[in-house]
Amino acid sequence: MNIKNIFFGISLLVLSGLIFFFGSSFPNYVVRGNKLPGPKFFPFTMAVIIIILGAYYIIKSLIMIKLKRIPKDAALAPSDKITLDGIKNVIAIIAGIIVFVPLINLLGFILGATIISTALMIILNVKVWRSLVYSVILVVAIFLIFGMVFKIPLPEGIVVAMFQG
Amino acid sequence: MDIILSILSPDVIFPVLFAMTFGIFVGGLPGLTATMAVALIIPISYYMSPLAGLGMVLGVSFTSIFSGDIPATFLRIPGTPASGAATLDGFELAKKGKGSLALTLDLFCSAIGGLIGILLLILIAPPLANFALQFTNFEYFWLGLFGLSMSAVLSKGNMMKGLTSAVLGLAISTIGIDITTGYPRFTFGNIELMDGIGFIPAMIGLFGISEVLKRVQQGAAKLQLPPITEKVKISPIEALKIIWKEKMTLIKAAFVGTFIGALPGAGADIAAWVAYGVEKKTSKNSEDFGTGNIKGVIAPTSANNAALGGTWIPALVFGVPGDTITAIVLGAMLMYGLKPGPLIFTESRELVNGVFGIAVLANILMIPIGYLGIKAFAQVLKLKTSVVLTGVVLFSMIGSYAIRNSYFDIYVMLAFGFIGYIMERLAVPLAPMILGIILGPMVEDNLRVGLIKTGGSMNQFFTRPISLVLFLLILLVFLGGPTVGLLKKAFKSKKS
Repeated sequence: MNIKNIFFGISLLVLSGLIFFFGSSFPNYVVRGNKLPGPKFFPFTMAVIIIILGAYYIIKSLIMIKLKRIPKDAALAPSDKITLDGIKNVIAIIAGIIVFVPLINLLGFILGATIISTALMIILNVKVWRSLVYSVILVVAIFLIFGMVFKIPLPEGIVVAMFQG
Repeated sequence: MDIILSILSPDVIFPVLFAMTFGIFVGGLPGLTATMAVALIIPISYYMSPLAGLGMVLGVSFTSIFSGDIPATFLRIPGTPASGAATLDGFELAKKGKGSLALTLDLFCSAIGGLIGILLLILIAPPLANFALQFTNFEYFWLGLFGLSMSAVLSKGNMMKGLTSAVLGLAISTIGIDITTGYPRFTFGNIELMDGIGFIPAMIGLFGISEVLKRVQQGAAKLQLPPITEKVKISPIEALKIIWKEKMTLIKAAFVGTFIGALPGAGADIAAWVAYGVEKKTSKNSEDFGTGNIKGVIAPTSANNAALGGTWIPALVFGVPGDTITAIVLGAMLMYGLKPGPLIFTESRELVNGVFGIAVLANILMIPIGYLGIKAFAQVLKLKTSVVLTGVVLFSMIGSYAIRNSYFDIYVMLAFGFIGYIMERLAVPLAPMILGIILGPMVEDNLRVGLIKTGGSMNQFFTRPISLVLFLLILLVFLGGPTVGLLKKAFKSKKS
């Protein structure tokens, strides 16, 4: 957990650096010659606090490592080891969401969402035919709620549009 | 009369019933929280009238908190964090073959506790709103920080990580056009970021997708739940007789639950544990707790639903959420163009009364819907978790897209899902971050307007009486615990 906290502290320092870097171009807010808190005031205040917090985690963790002590909140972090199967599942979900947008643009919501849903279920160890049945039920239910009842313009897809001429 | 008619109109009551059923389903599945249920219902409620939409949120929160107790009782797996305390005696009763009795008690206590919480909300909120009318930018700045501080301190994990989560939320809230000067901040020329990070996709990502990632990462072996070993049998009359006998336990727990819920940052889970602890400490048979004591079922289950009413007090009166669920509610209210705060009681009086009415009705309707939920639970658990999780992913994607018809929001949801997943692995609580995103504009605007009013001086932030009290409260929140700890240590060492 100490190593994780050091990583967290470094990430916070990098984040605050990015806030300062991108925020430095924000203009000052001057009214009748008075310099008032402008657009950079609040983000920079947060960045300063983030630096303090980042430094706190790094210093505290280094001291804990030296003293060979484990942080109290270590018990709250998931203790399960990351398995290959688990990594495969996480990547599948992330990839599924990334591919979802271009796929429904190409094939339309119903077909695209059914393909993504079925693929995810198969990867998560559901039998192929069950995955297909559950996916169709899910997608049709979502289509009815969002597409038909709420009239959300769900993509019809380039392929369908081509066939419609 | 008009309010009753508008509540009972089909375009309000049917969506509320749908949301309540949805809440039973999501809350009853271990790992899927009440917050997630509310987050997933928001994209649907967005297309309803404000009354129906807020009614849906209320309905889903009440039933999901209750149904979290069902797997807590039968499987010793809390369906939602608020059901943690219900596992203790409920599960012991289930082991003795009295699971149905425990759940029937639970259902009635949830409904009655919820009703008490709502009645206290109706009684306390309007006079408190009159008091809040005295608040200006200086007080609202501290109030926003107070809400964040409470959430940081009360979150699971250490206080510093809660604080970090809240500060990160505040930093994220600065993305988009600066309201005072109109200057775009951290948008990188992206038009979709001009309005800031979408609250709904961020919330769905943090509470929905991060949970899915956490669950699937455990591998296939843990994606199936154990079967129930007892058939569900219900005896409502026997349960009601027991509740009447233990009515003081229920009332006490409901009051404790409402009070805890009303503290910004503390929610139903803390309320349930505190009520359980209070009941155990004040009971003559405290050693029976944890072995199947009926009071150990009544106290936490009354308190967690009563807390929901309590959480609405600071949300409605001050615009500061009592817990994550009301944080989402605040976001939803802003979507509807409503401004939570003391003026809502005069400007949107009818809507507030309607919301109160729906809350009362939802607690009454929870009894028949809860019964069906208990009966359906065995069927729900037959669904493979993988199927449910895939459904959550699909629903999250389309829910994020539907708010602004924006594909970009799906990627925002994914980014926040991944951030939430990493944060949980680092034991950083998620709730303060979402509160930071919501309260960020309130804190920043009031700080800057206050400073503009005073020509850059911070004096007024500390010299106005209510401001000073709020500032001292924040100090107390952060320094109270460690100071008491140090004093105790000093006292012990002196004694030894």
